[in-house]
Amino acid sequence: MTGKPAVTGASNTPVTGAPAPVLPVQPAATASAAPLLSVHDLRMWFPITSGILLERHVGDVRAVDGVSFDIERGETLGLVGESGCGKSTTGRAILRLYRPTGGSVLFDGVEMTTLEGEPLRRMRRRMQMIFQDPYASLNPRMTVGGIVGEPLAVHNIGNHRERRERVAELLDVVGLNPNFLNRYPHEFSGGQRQRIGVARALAVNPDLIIADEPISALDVSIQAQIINLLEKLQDEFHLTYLFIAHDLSVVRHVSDWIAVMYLGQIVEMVPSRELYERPLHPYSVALLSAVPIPDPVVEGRRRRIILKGDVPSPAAPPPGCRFHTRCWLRERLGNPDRCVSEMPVLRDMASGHQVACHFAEDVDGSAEQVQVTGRRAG
Amino acid sequence: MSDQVAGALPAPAGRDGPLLRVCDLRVEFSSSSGRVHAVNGVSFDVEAHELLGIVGESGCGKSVTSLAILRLLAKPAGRVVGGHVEFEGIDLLSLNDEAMRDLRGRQVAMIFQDPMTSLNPVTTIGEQLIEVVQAHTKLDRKAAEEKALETLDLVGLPNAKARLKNFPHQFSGGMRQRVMIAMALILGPKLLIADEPTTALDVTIQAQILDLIARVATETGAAVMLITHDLGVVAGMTRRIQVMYAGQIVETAMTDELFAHPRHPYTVGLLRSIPRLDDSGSRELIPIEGLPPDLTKLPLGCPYAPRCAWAIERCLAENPPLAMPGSSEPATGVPLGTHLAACWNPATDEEARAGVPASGHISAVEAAGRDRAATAAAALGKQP
Repeated sequence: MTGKPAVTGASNTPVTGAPAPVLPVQPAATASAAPLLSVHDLRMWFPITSGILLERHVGDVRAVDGVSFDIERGETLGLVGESGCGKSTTGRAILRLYRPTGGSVLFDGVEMTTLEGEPLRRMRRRMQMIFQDPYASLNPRMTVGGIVGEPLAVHNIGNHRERRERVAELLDVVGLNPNFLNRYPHEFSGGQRQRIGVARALAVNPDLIIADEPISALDVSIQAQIINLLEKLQDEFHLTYLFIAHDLSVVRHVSDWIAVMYLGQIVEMVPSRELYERPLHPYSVALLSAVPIPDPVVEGRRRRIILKGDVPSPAAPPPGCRFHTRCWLRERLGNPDRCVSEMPVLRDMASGHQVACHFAEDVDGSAEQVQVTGRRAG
Repeated sequence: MSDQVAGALPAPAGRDGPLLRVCDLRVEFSSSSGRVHAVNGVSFDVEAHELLGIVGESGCGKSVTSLAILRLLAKPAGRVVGGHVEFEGIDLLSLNDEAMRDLRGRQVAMIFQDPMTSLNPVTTIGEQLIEVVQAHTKLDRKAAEEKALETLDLVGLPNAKARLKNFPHQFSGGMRQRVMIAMALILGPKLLIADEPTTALDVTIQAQILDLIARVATETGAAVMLITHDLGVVAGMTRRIQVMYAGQIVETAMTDELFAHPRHPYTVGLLRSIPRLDDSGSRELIPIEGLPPDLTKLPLGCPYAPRCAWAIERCLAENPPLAMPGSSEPATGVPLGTHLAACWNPATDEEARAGVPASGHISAVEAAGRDRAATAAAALGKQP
């Protein structure tokens, strides 16, 4: 990814009290080489209220708290993290399924966070979503033709006959029999339903597809079918993907870039090959070490880093570095105060490889980093 | 604690057979769309102190097998229609209900996938643990509470004494799974069946729980049957693996051997269809085409044949027995850990690495399909 604009990093000024107003609209990118999607300091806080009639605002769940990244046209950014880290919320806030608390989302130069009404509807045509659960995301009372054709109807594209032709064509593209038009979702298996979901996302010729855990509800033998389909479609239609998943092996396989999230923030942004070779955030190292590799020889050489305890609540995130309560490196370094007093921002470690850790240099070359890969140190 | 146990089991004396022996087990469910053949002739042994992995996708019969062993099949829909199950020489399928209840938990315990639905939401975990102890032993409440505390310590639940008074919803997913494991271990079973114990958990929590299961198995000497769909999970943990498909064991071997020399095309397919974290290049995924079979109408031959690139004529007509690769005789009396595969045309090492059969092989299914298409076209007087 050449000419990747520097990412300014996580918001390191924790805002207390009421949610901050939406940031002023950034100047629209002019050059055509600008990234398709540019997210800057995105915040999505959900209010916690107390009381029944007079709801008092007593706090916020900071689901996404200062997330910034770019996605170039035709590329795939993988967003990984454990449940509750804010990866799905990020995707939904970009699509404006939520109204972000703060930050900016530039889609092809247009600020999305302030868009309303008809202009928003028109922009949404260019960004579509594939959902995790192929059982819950298809209306059981609609036929496949109705489901896949609905985005066309919503956006007033074509007449009835043209839409049916387009739907048949889409079904063919995703590997389903075009004659299935009049069938209902329950007549299909999980993998086939997910293909229907993909066809629906493709219907309006979007530029960006946000795929939120698109394969995690599928059986192992079916997952590869959907991964290969998504890769084929990306080549064919020059699609840009934001691929959200918890499975690092899958994310690494499909992505050009990977952003690792922890408690609402990106802790590492890295070219996907480099993540496994040279993880630089202590959390990324632990996350990678926890992913089992289906090879007993490699597994025998690896050592797991067992993180203590659970992820803290995003309603009361720890001060300073959010990972410091579970960090294996901090313990090693004699619990430096800096991790508690100062929130680390993303900084450049190598070309394009950014890490939000004060002590990333100590991760590089550490025994833990080497053992993750099963390579022998030395 | 054996003297305190309200035992109803005859004490088996001086045996040296396996801990658990399952022979030709068959399980059916009746459903509105007909009989579901969930388990179709499964035979295997589990030795004492052993870590056995059972791998397969949903619907392959791996969970039903373990439920049948514990006689926990949903009644009246599910029933064992053939075979037998022996635990330490005792025939479990003919045991009376009281003796079976006594055996569950005390000899064989189970860890379920979803700790939220497996724990009682309206009772504290202390009550639930004490109930298990008191149902099976003559320990008084105080001693039972001691035992509960001891076990919660063993599974690494911090601040166990205070947490005895907590309800399941007050625990995180990982901590709930620790409570489930404590509940399974509290009576010191000889066999622990863990059915997808980490599927509902995040990967770092999964690492904690797998680490815990391996540790308690070593400390208590329990044998573990680890049931999972994730080949990665069994690769690092188990000594021996069985791969199941459509209610049958299709391949079994020692873990290292299975991963180094997979023979059954389904095992090869599973290994080649998942991305590996340590792939240096972008290795192409080779998906397994098609869908798992409909268990209400299993095909005549090998159940995997319709999806198998290696299929030959014989696969469509005759279901292969679990045999030594290269032999067509069912393997009986072979030592535990012998590499066996149920396949008429097993993959070679080279084919397993490539993920596809040697060039020139046309699967029998594809060939049959072409024949059918040609016949149909001829009958209709059209071009194929």
